[in-house]
Amino acid sequence: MSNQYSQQNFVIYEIQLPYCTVCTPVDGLTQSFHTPVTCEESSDATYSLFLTSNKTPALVTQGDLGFQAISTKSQLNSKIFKQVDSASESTAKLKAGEGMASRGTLSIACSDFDGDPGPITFTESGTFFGKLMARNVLQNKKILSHYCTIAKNPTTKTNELTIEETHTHFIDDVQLTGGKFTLKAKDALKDIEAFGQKFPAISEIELTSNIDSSQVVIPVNDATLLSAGSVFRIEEELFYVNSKAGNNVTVAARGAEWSNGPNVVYKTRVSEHSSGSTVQPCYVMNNRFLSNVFQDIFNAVGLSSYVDFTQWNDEISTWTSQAYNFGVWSEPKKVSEILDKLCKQYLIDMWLDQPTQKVKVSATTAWKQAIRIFYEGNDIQDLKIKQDDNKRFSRCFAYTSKEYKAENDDVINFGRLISASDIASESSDLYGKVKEKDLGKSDVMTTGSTQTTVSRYVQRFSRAPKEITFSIEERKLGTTSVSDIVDIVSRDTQTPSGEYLQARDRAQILRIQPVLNDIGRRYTVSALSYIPLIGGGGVGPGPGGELVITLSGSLIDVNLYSRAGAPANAVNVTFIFDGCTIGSSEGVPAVRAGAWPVGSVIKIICTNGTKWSAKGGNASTWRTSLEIGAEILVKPQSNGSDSYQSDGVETHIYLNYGTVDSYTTSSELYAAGGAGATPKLPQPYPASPSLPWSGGGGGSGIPFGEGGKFEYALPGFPVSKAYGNDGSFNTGGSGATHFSGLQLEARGGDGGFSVNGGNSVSNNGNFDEPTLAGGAFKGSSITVYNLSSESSKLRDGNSDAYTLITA
Amino acid sequence: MIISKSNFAADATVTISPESPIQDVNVIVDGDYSSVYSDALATKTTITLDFGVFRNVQYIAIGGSNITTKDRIVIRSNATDGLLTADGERIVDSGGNPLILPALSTIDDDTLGLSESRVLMYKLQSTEVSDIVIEIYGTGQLKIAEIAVGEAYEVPRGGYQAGYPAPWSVPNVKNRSATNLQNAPINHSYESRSINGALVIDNLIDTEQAEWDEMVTFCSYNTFYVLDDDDKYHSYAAFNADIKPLQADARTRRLTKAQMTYNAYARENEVIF
Repeated sequence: MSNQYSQQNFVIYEIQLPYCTVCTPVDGLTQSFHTPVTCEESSDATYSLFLTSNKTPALVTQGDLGFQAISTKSQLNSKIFKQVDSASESTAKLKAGEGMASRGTLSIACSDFDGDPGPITFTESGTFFGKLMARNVLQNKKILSHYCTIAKNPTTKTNELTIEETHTHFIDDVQLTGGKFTLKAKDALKDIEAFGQKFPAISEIELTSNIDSSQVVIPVNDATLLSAGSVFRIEEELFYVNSKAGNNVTVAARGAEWSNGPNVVYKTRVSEHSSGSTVQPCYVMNNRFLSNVFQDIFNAVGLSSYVDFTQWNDEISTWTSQAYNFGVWSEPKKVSEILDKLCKQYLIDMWLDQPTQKVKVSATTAWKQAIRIFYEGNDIQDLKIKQDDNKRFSRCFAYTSKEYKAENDDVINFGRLISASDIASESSDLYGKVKEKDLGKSDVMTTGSTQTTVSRYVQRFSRAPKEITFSIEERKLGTTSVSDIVDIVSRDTQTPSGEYLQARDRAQILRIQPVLNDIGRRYTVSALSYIPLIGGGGVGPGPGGELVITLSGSLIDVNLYSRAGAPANAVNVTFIFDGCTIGSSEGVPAVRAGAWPVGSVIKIICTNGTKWSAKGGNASTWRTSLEIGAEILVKPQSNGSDSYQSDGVETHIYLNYGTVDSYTTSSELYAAGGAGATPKLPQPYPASPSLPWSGGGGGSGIPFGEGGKFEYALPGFPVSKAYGNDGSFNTGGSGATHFSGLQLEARGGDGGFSVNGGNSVSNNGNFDEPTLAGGAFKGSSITVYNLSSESSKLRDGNSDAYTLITA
Repeated sequence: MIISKSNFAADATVTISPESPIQDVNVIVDGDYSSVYSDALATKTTITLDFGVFRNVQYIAIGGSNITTKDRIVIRSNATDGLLTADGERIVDSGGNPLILPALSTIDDDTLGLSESRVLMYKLQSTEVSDIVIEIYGTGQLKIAEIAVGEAYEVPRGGYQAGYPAPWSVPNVKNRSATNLQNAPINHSYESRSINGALVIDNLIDTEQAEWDEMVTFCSYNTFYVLDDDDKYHSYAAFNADIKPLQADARTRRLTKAQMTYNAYARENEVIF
């Protein structure tokens, strides 16, 4: 946008229509009008009609704008019809965490007149728009709005005409009534809605014969789309394609699940299916990043030209590196609904950027920095600020971990409910009211992504946002665009001490709406404020002070970076573990710092008797059988998991250290114990079930390690068992013991309490070695504060080096 | 003051040399300011309006053009047979200065060079020609929305009445400035506008009514041109004419009061090309 003080602004509208170079008049016509409606031939070119209002300077020509109405000699090349009486453009408005932006629309009203729209043949009778509608089908034709400005070039000191922006819409409706022509149009994303396109595409493939619940060769009428590695669905069963021969598709063992590490792509239940059942190809996400998912959807519905993958990938990667998806979409749904849901669940704003005609995305996050400051008066006018409690939410939750992807979306099919809260904002000192936000159910997001999303939602909306509107002249708008973060300084926003024109509201621009029916051009801007989590100073929380995040209740596999909303800049952040019980999954740290920007500092304050450990080591479980003559490992042993992994981020952990930052520290942190060893049976196998066997004990931890199990079966005898004991938070489980008469034949090793598991005692040695305890502290740059008098409440297991402050 | 009451250009055959490869030359005589003939001006462009028959040309008006920024305009006629040259009568402006010299068949006006676009109107003595040739000299882009030639109504007694607004005297723009908290301007926006004009004749005599009637009939259906005085720039294109009924004088009860209002287009303040 030109920033010159004096400007003349106007808009030239360009309607692009198909043109037939050669025209044989259709029946009933004696003249060739060279449009598809009037010719037997199809179009092979385009022509343009230019419209504007009478505010546009008379001497502005198509050539000045670099245009030409038609590629042949024609009076159309001299004409910019000044028939536009009024116009309005409704630009896309971001919904800030509520899904895709609204669609942009355009409306213009013109006076009809005694003219002719050509493009080649011009007649004396009739009116311009009457003939235009008779010669063309205007629906879905493109209309461009060229936003023009005449302003002095600061270098040459002469007035220059520039096209600041061009917006594109597609005609939706036209009317000619009482000599008034009205045209309404929508932006390109209308196609997503208008045609109700579905993703994945609706299938026409069918089973050609009945199949039972174990058959792996599936006969279909057309296997073209069922390539190796793809997944399809019949009723509620999912099938993985191994290969195909003609129209016979060979699938993996029925009911097999597909997992990638801890993430389930799908599980399915088997059943019989009848001939004629629909075979629906599925869209599979196996570690598919969100930007790729968006791209796949757009490509599938023919909107690839609107994809700005680089922008999507950069924005989403910056927002969170965890936005990988796992799952299968097996039911065709409207694309608009899919995108809306994805945007909402990932807190992504998505809109069509008019100048570039590309779809853009922006993460809804309170971590973004303002790119400029708007001052009331100097930059903006008509400022209105309204606090909207309807947009405040102190808690947020979402469902995730749906493993059986073909099942319905009932809550019962989702394994986890992830939540975050800002309890402080609910106190009577502040808003005094709990408000919960349901982000819905996601069948493809990982736990980490969901955690980040709900945390960010609370960060962004736990304090009642302000709805801010103002008007701004075009020259003042500059390059500011939708989704930008700006600071707004006004008379009405003051510091607690009453200093005005110093305090500022930070806000995200939701809409920039041009005002076209006034002198010049200005814009009405809508924005939504939030409490910024990083001040302009860079490192450290502010300007609102320290960033404090309180966690309570049972926690498992906590990623602090996600909990903090994945900040993009280095920060100092304090986590309060308030009466928590903290554990982990097998092989995963109970708490890990995550991918913090370099320079970040984490402080953890444990209060109200927080119990912190990790998954205790499991002893192994075996089964032996005379029939097969070998031991069968039913469940492998495991090491104790780690309690905290710093990932190299400077971390200060206050366990029992008196009062810290007004919090009274109180906790127990016990590293997870290793499991005891399970002993080996004598060889050859005993003929009597009275011979020795026994399982090892599980290690301590949250959850505790499970005792080993040893099962021995003989034909005609019931299964005999000797189970090691499970551990607990602060004890290792003892191993099972077997005596033959008075002689100890075998004893499983004891599980460790924050130490490695014990060896077994057996006439035949160990089946396996005892497992290792986890470490209380792993990674570098960890300082632990625990008074020497409280040393019994810290057992660090196999920790890496760390600094312990005891006084 | 004269007001156009006919326009022969609308029926003329137009040729332009050199001619634009993509523009239709007829747009300069269609009375439509939406259509602007535009082409590069390389030293000289010649526009010829051929009427086919001899016409009584009393004015030449060029509107919506940037000719005022060029170096020189020459107006002449190739078909001078109709000129009354026997007694030396010449086509002259109202000041008696020769515009078209029959002997040379040319006029020459190099008093252009403005930085803005203005309606350009010449008053001629009544004479008959079958064509008009307009030569424009200069460089850059040449733009012309409208050329009109024809007969004119001579407004009795100069035309100026008390309160007559001269539309050519003001830029045809509207302004708006937003202001800061101290009510000082922080920007300046402007847009084109049409200017209101009005003409009132209080003492129209009976013999003038026929001409008045002829003029307002033309003005009711066409863009028309008004030249206030001898200055070619004291002119404007007028449209949306609202002709008031003749009114009777209160004392004499004769229809002596004639009036009309209209919108006017006179100039664009800044010519950007």
